[in-house]
Amino acid sequence: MLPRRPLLAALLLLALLPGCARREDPVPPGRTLITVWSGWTGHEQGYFQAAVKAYNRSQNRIFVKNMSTEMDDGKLLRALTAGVPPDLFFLWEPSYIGALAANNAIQPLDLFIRKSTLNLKDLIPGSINQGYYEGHYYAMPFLIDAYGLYWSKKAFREVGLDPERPPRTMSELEAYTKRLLSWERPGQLRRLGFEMPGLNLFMVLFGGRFYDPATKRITTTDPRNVEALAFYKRLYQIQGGAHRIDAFKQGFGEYNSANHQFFVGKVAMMISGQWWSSYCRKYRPGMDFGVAPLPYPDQYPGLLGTTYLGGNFACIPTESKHPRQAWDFLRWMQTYPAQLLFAQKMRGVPNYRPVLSDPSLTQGDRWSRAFGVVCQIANHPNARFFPALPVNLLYMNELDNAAQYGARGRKTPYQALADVEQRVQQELEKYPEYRIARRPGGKP
Amino acid sequence: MTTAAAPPTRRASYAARAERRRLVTGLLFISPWIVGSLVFTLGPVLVSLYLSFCDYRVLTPPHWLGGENYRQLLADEYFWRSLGNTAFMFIELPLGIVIGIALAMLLNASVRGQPGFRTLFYLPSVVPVVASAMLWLWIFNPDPKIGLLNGLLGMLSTAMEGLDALLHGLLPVLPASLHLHLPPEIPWLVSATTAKPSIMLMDLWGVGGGMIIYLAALQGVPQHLYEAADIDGASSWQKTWHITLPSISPVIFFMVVTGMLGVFQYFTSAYIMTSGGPEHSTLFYALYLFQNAFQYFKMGYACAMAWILFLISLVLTLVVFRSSARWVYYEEER
Amino acid sequence: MKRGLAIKRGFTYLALVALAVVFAFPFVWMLSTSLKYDWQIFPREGQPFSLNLFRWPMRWGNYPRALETFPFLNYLYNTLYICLFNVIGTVASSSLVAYGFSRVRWRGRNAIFILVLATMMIPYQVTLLPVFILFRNLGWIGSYKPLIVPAFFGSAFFIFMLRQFFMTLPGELSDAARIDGCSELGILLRIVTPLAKPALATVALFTFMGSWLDFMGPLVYLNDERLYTLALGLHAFLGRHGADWSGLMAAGTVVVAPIIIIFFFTQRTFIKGIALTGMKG
Repeated sequence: MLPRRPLLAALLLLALLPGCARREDPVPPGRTLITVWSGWTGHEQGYFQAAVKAYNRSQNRIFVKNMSTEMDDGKLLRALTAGVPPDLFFLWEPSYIGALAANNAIQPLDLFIRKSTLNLKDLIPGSINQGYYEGHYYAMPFLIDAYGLYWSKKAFREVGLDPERPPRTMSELEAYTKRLLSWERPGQLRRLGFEMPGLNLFMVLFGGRFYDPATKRITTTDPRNVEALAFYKRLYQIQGGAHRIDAFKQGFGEYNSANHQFFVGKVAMMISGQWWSSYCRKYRPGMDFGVAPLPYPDQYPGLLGTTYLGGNFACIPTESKHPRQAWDFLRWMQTYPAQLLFAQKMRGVPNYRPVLSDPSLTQGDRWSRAFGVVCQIANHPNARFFPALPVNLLYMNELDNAAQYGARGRKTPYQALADVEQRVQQELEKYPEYRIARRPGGKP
Repeated sequence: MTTAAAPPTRRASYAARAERRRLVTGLLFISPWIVGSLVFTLGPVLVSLYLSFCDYRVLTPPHWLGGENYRQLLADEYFWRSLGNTAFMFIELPLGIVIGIALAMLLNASVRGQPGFRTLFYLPSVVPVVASAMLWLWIFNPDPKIGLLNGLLGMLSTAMEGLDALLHGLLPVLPASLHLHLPPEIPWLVSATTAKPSIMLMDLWGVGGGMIIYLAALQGVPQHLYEAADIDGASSWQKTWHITLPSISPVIFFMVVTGMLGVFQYFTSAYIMTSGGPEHSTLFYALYLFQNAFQYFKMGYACAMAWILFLISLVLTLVVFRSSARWVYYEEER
Repeated sequence: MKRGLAIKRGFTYLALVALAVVFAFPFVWMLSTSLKYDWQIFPREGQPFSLNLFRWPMRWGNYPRALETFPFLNYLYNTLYICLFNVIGTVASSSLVAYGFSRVRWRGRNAIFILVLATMMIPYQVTLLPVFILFRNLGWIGSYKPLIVPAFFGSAFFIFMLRQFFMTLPGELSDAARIDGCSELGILLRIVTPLAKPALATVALFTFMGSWLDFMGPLVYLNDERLYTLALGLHAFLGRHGADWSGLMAAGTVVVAPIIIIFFFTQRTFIKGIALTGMKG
């Protein structure tokens, strides 16, 4: 067996030298230290760190310490519940904003905004408004996601379509999909005409509403939503049915790789976010693709230019120890240099409007121009988003279910959506009206 | 100590004192667990019981609801669905035990290279989950040009067809309806019917951990029993059934109970790989509980789910305990 | 008779080799992916099915690259620290408690044992918030204490396991020792422990492995990067917009290699060290 004495010696040594590790940069004296949980990992962590360094250099009152471990639901929630949160954190899932706000875990930022030089009109409405709940702003955006229609010009040429002319309306989308659909042999797909996005995006394109703030009711059964699901189902059916499509999709390669279905010709058209052009440049520089605004339903031409918005959001916990300093950092993130720096690296849509037309972002090579197209899409007045509600995660999970059941014909579109509405409404009613009695920047 | 002529009272008091001494000794030995559970376990567990009767949204103080959570649960279709899904996974329990024991016995025989084989069998348990998730998605990929299982299946299926054609060609007397056939591809994780069996298959890879425990147990079987059985001319099967299994029955009991509790709390694979789909076929009880607790912020509801699970586990464990008197053999209590 | 035995041996080997291939596959796959270039990891379009395991050229550079992605030595030291204390604490405390439940006869023993089992029946998801608040009240958040201290109070799983093992040992051994005037603790240390070496080694192995690869615990309780463990380092390879798969597999291989090596070389402890010749006569 292992000899005893050296083992004991080793153990004693270990016990006496804890923390014998690298020292990191100490906090410069005279500065307030604030901790930020940003959740960026991998090489993205490096980009965010660069932004943090730039901020720390730009002033000498505050020092930001960024902690990027994997953002886990459990970790953040535990810290919030136990009252030991960081001073500022980023959210991976904007859907959490409503629940956190409704439970007073994050503080409203209105007072900070009013007192600062920030003009909300300079921000894309769909960005700052994703953090709007019950009359207050709870989260600041830092680059948002916007979606456009991407298509493979090569596939278009193959079937005799004009590669510069994407489908503009839903009926055109259907027709193009049928043209671009291709079978290997009966029962085995070779190429999908159009890869279906999530149902909530589709509902937005039809002008459907998720929630009516006037009546405080979930409106999943809004007639537009039912139309959207019915059309969604049709697009599934004309491409072989949900089962075949799902099986075909399982054979898709890794999302972040040269084997993505779009690159290898398994999908001719798809809806994706602004990052897609950088992916094209990185993984398939030879890919001849186009990007355009999303199609609108023929019967509602006013919906032209609609898109769906997502994004990264930062919140200040109610029990943050340095909310004013945290706000200072958030405010800096809304300035031109900060947004430009991050957008150049991360390829998110800047939510600070003046940056949208910066030539370094949107001009030059064709990928930057494609990115520019999506930036313009994001700035359109018709850009929509999922409103902040405390029940969003449930709502989104249930919408996924409704999409599955609806697409497979197990429930009628109306029934699938009605079930969602009923469940989510039931949950929503459990949240009483919250009167915000806390002042930002400390306990009430 | 002669007690033959001692008066009954003194003997009785001696016995009582000895019993008390044993009680004190026993309690002393288990004192670390008592202290630990009082500090680390009891509090949180009681809190969760209290919360199961409350509406607790995690970030705000709870308020009392009475039995409302429980009433809602019983009417919740996902509750029953998830319970059913979890119950289905019980099939894995006897499979895992039999395979684990068989492997351990195989490795206990005197063959060369035992350490090597044992290490190889144990390897899957060691691969970190973050790496293996990707591996399994590839294995279960339904495209026969990519996925491992369907790729192999595709090749086997073609071979079967060839074999079938050959047989029919050689023996024309075979009825035309009789065919050798293997499905060319199986949807694995994509279809609601095959998703759970796929997950079971994935779990069985980790049977190496149980194998280690059975191996350790097999070391304690007295050799002389085997020698005596050999003299009596017993077959391998008889030796296994009458000597090996009873000798390791305490450990089998352990694996049955812990395996059962493990099935009840089955969570990780579904969380990482399938998120409860397709069509809720892999929505296991613990996954639904997790969703309620951390995504829907219905912690009180989740606590109610936890306590229902606790009651079911307790009842079933007691049943297994009772039955153990009949099949578990403790050398210590002879 | 000899030929029958040889055939039986042959079949046993065949079965072992076949099973070994099946079981070793996940690890072999991980190893093979760690040596690939990014474009080799996923099968190219249009190619027929292949196992896609080892391909040339091999990218040995994945290993130094992966080990530079996070402070490997630092995390290694931290993880060793946590694991060692965990193993010592768990083995010591669980043996003590298991002994109390198996080799000492006292009233109420089995009833309290059911309580031990009961603690395993509550899903951890509902106790993790109260537990976190408890640790916060103790002021242990941000240190190693929540990861190490509970190990010294016994783990229900291992208590149960060791109890079962201890109960397979004949009672006469203890009786004889008691008559000789040996204390209970002495019996545990001098008689039971040597005989239960395989079981104790199993507890040590499982505890070590669990602690070595534990991700949730360090994620939740540690906020200072200098204290992070190897498991957290592994997750650094997973970005939001894409993972460094080959780096992850390389780091993963390095992280699990010590366990495999330790396991391979300590096989003897899993086999009984002394032969039980039986207590009759």
